[in-house]
Amino acid sequence: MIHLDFTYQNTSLSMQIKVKTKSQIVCLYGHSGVGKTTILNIIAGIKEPHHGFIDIAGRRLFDRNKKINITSQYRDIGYIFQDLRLFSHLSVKDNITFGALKHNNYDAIIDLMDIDELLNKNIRSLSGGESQKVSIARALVKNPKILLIDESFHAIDKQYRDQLIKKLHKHIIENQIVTILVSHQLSDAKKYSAEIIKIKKEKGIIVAR
Amino acid sequence: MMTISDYEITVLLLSLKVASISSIIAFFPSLLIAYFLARKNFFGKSFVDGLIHLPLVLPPVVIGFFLLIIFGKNGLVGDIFFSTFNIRISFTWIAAVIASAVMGFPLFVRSIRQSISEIDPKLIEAAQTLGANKLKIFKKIIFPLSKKGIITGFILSFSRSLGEFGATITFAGNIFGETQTLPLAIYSSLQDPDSNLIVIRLVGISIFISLAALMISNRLSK
Repeated sequence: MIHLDFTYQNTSLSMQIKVKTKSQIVCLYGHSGVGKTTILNIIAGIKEPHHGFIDIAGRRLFDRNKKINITSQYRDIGYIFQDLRLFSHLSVKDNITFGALKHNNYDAIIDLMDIDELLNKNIRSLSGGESQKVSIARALVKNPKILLIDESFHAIDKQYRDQLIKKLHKHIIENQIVTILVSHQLSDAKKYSAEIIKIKKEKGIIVAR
Repeated sequence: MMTISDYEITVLLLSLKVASISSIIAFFPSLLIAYFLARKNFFGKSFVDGLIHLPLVLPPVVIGFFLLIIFGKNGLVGDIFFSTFNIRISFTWIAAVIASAVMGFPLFVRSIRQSISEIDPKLIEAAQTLGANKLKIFKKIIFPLSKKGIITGFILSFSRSLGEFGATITFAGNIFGETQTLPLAIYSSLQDPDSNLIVIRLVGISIFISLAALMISNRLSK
């Protein structure tokens, strides 16, 4: 269950989604600028709502009234950013292992993303597609309970992109990761068999349908 | 072949010692203050910012005077050191180090602060979502990405110390072998009409050391 009810900078959102047990994936679909990334940033704890609460997978991450605000560090979230946000001064391997205390998932994720040969490379030397794979690996390696994906696959060519989405989908289901995907391409959402929520902004209110 | 005299060696080594130690001492406080000024908003930030930059705008003699009031034998802190440990700070090489550290401090802070300000906050947000605590973010993101500013700040502080005169002569005096650094030695030699050659040689050494420091800084910060 994902239950969001908050106000951030004069914009309100109330959204309650029952995630299908098989797919585990919710896709927030809508035009640019309606606040999809803001929703992810609020869930991740990067931005703080002025009012309301955030419940995801049985955990209350934020509640203004009850003064609950679990910091990003402890939200157990993997976030694949649209702009990747890789640490250019660190190697690929150091990027991937950055937040993970136990690398139990490390070998499996390296295999999954097929990036074994990139591990000792400098981030600056990677192609766009390779960088995206590294950013996905970095978010998954700590085995998060919640995965946030922000339109992150645009630099990967179509053939490999479909393969990658398939692999990622399998990994999400096998590891029961509650996933929120932001996209403006319905085709991607369908490939994930995701629960699709259309996001619109009407009179300062983000409407989720 | 031109050789360097014992007098010049003593002055040079003392200058390098004072400049090195003062820059090392100033490093941690500079890093800490630069971090807070660059990344935090707190009550009195403008005041702290102004206070740190005072040595840049005040005459160095005034800074030396304040240091005497604080660390002099009868000063606020100096009195405690003298009565408790029988240690005198003013008019010793330690005073020269303190004067240099204080004068170089704003340059050190400014340089590191500029570097920290230029770090994309999105990288820090990413590190937070990866579970990194503040210490890890500082060690793995902020510190390495501020390296250029830290090196530049260190060299600026070091060079400032090599050129420091007013605060040092007021607070540490001009004692050969104890507090007489290069600028003070040049000043002393200028008082003696027979020491023109020594002045020229000391000026040459000053220029050489300063240029070397700047070249090292440029190379390290690449």
